[in-house]
Amino acid sequence: MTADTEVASRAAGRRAGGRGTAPHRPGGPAPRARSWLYLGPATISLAVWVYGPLVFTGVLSFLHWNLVSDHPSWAGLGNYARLVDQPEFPHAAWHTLLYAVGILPFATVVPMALAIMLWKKPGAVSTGYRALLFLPVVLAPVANAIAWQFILDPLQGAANGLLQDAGFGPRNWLGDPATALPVIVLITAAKVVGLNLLLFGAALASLDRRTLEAARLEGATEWETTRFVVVPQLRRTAVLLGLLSLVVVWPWIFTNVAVLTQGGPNGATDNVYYRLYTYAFTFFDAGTASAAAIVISLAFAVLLGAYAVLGRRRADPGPGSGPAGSGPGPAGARPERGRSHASV
Amino acid sequence: MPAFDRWPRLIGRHAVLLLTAAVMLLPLVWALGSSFKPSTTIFDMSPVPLPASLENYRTVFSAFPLWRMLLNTFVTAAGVTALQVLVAVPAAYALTQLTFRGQRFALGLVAVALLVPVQSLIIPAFLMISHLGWRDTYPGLIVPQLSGCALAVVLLRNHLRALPPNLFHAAALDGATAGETLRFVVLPLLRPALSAVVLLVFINTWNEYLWPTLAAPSPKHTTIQAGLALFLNQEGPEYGPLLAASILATVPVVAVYLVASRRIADAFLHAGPG
Amino acid sequence: MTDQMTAVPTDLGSGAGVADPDPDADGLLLDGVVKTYGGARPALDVPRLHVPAGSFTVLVGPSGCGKSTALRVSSGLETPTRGRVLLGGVDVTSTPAAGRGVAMVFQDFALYPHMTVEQNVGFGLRLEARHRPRRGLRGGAGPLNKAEIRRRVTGACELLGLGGLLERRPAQLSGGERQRVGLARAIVRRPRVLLLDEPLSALDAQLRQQARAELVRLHRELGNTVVMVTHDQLEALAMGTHLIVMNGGRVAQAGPPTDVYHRPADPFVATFVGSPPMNIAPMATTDAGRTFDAPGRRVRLDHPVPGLGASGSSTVLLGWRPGDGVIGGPAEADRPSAPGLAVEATADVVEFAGDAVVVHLTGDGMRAAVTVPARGSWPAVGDRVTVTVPAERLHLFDPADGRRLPAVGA
Repeated sequence: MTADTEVASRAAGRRAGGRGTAPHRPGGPAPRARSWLYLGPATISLAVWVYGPLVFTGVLSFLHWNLVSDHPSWAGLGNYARLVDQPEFPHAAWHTLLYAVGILPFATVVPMALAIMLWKKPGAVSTGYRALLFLPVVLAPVANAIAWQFILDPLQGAANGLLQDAGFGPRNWLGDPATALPVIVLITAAKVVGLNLLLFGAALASLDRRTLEAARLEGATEWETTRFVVVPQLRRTAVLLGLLSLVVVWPWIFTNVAVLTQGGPNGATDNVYYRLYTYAFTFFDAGTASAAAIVISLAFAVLLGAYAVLGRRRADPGPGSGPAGSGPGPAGARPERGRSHASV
Repeated sequence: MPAFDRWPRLIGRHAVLLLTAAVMLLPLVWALGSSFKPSTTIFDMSPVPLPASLENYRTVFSAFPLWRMLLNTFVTAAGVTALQVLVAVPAAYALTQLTFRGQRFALGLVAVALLVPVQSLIIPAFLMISHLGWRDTYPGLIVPQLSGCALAVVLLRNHLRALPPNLFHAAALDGATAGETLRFVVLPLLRPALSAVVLLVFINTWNEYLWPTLAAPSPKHTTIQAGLALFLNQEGPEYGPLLAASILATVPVVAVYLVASRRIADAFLHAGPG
Repeated sequence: MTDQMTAVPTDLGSGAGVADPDPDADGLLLDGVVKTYGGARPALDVPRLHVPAGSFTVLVGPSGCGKSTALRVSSGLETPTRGRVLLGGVDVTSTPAAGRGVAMVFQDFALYPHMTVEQNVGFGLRLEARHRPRRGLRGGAGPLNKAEIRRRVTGACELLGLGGLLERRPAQLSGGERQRVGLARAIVRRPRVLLLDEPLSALDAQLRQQARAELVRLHRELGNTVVMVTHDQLEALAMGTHLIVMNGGRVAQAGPPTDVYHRPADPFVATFVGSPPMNIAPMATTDAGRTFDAPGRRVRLDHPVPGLGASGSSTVLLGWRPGDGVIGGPAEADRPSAPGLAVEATADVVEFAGDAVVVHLTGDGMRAAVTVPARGSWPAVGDRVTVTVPAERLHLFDPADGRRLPAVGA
């Protein structure tokens, strides 16, 4: 062994202790330093663009600042107090909850039902439907909002046209505080349904159709098969998609609110995200906006955590959307495999 | 069993699906139709553009930096996708296949990042790119969107976990280092999942609206999504060109979907919770 | 985990392992190895598990007995919680898997699905060439260049009859072919110890028979140490030159197959090895170990069982192999002519198995099986029969600790 390789080998194999007669070879569990090398880029990215900003937001929430001046002043808990004192923020928070509750069925039940319907009859027709229903996801968000603005126009809109033909009076859908929020939910829901339909489809694709046949042989009706065989196996997926949807849906709602109602009428479509944006980029009040951001993050973490825990507990008995393994080869379940890597 | 028994169910199913499709596709159909309407009939509600006109498309191409914006959008989406994948692949690998102290902590770091709402990050991110002089630049559009890499890590990790663990044991016994295992075993096997993640991130970034409006407010430097809003803010909204431009902005993404819908679905095959 | 590994006491000084003083420590030795996965009971707890050099050793036991853990600790894929792993007398406890000169065939074969057969088999050699481009191979066969790799890959594949399949991918292979690719990949680097983790369980029954013989032949040709894990005791008896029966993370018995079969160390080994399993039932003695009685059964011995009185126990576990029983007429039960066991029972189920017939018996709160050659006659269902077993074929175990009591005939 040359001196070079000896040194390199020793450096690489420091943890190998007594090296034995066999020369050190790499492999086996990697030392901690090397593992963090792999994690480094992601960790740094998250530190710089998620955790750093989060801390910065936390600091800002205790300051008065207009985003421009060189001299922010200490506000203490003043920004938080303002959030609570003024009616807008609690109101927006309440409406945010309404949005979340409104969106949830469109993230879970509706796309699941559609996905099962399409899954039961595979073929070109189903593929076509799936593609059609995915299209709202790719339509430019602003265009989508504008299109709905026209369709829901109180005077000339197609929606009222149809309703009048059916004998109902015209309605100002987006101008009426009673209907504005549900309408925004429905408009946003089209996107959520489209995306989650695709993802439920993926979960169904890994599901064993023989379980269906077994249920049918036992005399289950079509509905019973769906309810007691298919749905339980999708429960884990449903929990996950509900969670993910509640994470990704806010930018979509934001666009619709920004284009269609700007939070109105009379705060009916306001929500904490739009409020935060208004504080920061309409009123240039970075302190209050940051306080709002911190409150939102905390509440969001608590609610999603609770949802995840509850969902997981309830979903546990089901076999879950178990991966069907794109992994090749017969991956026989080994009876006494001690998995060395931590699985969380 | 008499065949006519199945008719009610068949009709019922298609009624449900068609109705849903109709409602969901209404805006797209209307936008497509209206983009061909001349300015005189733009407020007509009929989705059929009669008489049809290419006026809006001409306006878009002549009076609007459409190509430039599409290019910006493409560069941004591609850049964000590339960065996120570069960052996420080794992280997902380390979180699945390597054993080290702090692994749970690292996983928690990623999981919590997934739950932090983007909106609580925009003010610091905005200040950072302002400070760096990155407003109206590609780095300003691209780099802060690394905040979304947690999702890519989680999706890739779930895929990696679904691979038979013995493959990695075999590689260790064959003498592969962690890097060699990643390069010669993991990456080839991860390719389908990787392309799926790439497409998801790409579509999502392509359609991002809020960040470009803040990071690149000037028309020459912003993306098409933020650019569309410019049609609303000038003296009197120009709906026709807006719709035409948004149809043009949607075409590339639809093409991507049609090519790759299977793979997008694949990405989630292994995305069980946790 | 990493820290635990470095905490394992290793030889100080040179860093090279020091030969173990134990004279028969060549081969593979797990010395005081304990492996815990966080559960209350260790998955593996062996004061001493020895695989003789050059042997075909089979680790056998029911699922969860620790046999696979023992294999993985030997391979280096797992690090023991406590204890040392010695290979050829050298402590390799903290040597990474690839540096031990061991190779493994996995239960699911774990072939790289994106590589051809040739690439699968040659992967380890190509990595070795990458790591040490100028050095010759272990075994001194000259520099490890492309031609040499190709020569050795082709050689290993030819040996296993994979000659025509070099360009195929795993998905295009049958189960048997995959298994042989896994073997070729394992032997191509000329390991000192070849580890086989249930290598036959993924094959169908017919193929398994054939693969058994191939494995044994391969071992004879290569002459290296082979350690195979299986839960199939018939496989273990048929293939191994050395058997290690495991139970509950411990070694229940180790030795040549014939020894393990004829002199099982405890009731677990006795019932686990052999098919149909050994009949075991408690019996009480009335006269300090000369005669034992239970309803329908009676044992008479020439000498009392030594050590029986010492443990203060008046019962033993009495075992006999179904093949050692001889079916006689109903009258012999009361008065066995020769020392040994006599059982009177009713034939309950009769299984014809080609060469032999397995007769399942039921009696007073008792079940037993006896095997008789199919060439003779055998009882019909419902017949009263008497089975006699000569004294030297009886196995006695202490009911308190399961210890084998000294041979009856001796």
